[in-house]
Amino acid sequence: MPRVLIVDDSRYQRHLISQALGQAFSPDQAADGREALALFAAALDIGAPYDLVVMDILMPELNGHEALAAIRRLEAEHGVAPDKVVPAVMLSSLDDPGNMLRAQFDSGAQAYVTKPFTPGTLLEALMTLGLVENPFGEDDVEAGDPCKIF
Amino acid sequence: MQDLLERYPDHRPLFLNVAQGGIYETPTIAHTVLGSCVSVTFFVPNRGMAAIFHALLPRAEEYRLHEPDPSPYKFVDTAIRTLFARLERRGVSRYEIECKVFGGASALFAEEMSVGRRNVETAFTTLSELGLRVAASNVGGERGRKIVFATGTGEIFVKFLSNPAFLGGR
Repeated sequence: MPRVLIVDDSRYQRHLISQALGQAFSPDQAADGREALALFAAALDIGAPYDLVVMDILMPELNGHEALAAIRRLEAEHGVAPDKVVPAVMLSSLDDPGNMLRAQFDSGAQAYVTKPFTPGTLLEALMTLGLVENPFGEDDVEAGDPCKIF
Repeated sequence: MQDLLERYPDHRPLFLNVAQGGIYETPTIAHTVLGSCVSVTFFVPNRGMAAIFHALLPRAEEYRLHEPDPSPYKFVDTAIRTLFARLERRGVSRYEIECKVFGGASALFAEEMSVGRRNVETAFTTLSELGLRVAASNVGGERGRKIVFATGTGEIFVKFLSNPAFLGGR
């Protein structure tokens, strides 16, 4: 069963997140960034890395940005290729442009969900990351589709 | 994609090209492909109303040389302001609207302020200025995205592209 590390200083929020993820994941919980980092490092050391990280931002000790950036450094030190890093969803009550941008362009999150959240919104984010079944078929982009990265 | 169309038999499919967008009051499967471009979805749950656009560049005022662009959906800021104004004219309050932001990929080794990042920053900033809450976003990275928006339910499905043609720069 895929493993998820849920990081939030609110026990109630950790419960809500765990409930939203249902039985699909085996959860571990951390109440701050430093505890999350210790759990993540231990998981890497025993060869049983997490498959998903759900990270709050406003927490004591290390905040979510700092903790996730530290997780990315740990992965690099362990030789994890950039395209194989654990998917991370930032889940925060902060909905300002600076935090949403920083999370996904600098801290290493692949998606951002704003609290209060619905289970559907969180699962939608996980679907995008390939962690729950995606009803997209196997077809890829059609010929002639217009948008490039530049 | 066919699976998704079968999942919503009452929705009509509509492909959005660059600089296209609009409000949809009948169930529509709006789908598009994003590289550096950005799409913002607007969903008004209790009114059966939704909107989406596919914008190429961040701010209109930075690019207009002689006269206004014929499509407000070419630029992120004018696209958001246009759709919000049109929703307001239909009596929709900002508090009823759920927004989500997608796209803004950057080429590997892109400069720090790539077009993708500036597109996303403009989307977040403009939405914030209008008091519109972003419920979720999936932005950045180095791969393009295909997104499908079921306007009748507000559901969004995103798939990262693996086609190498969409990994590099133009």
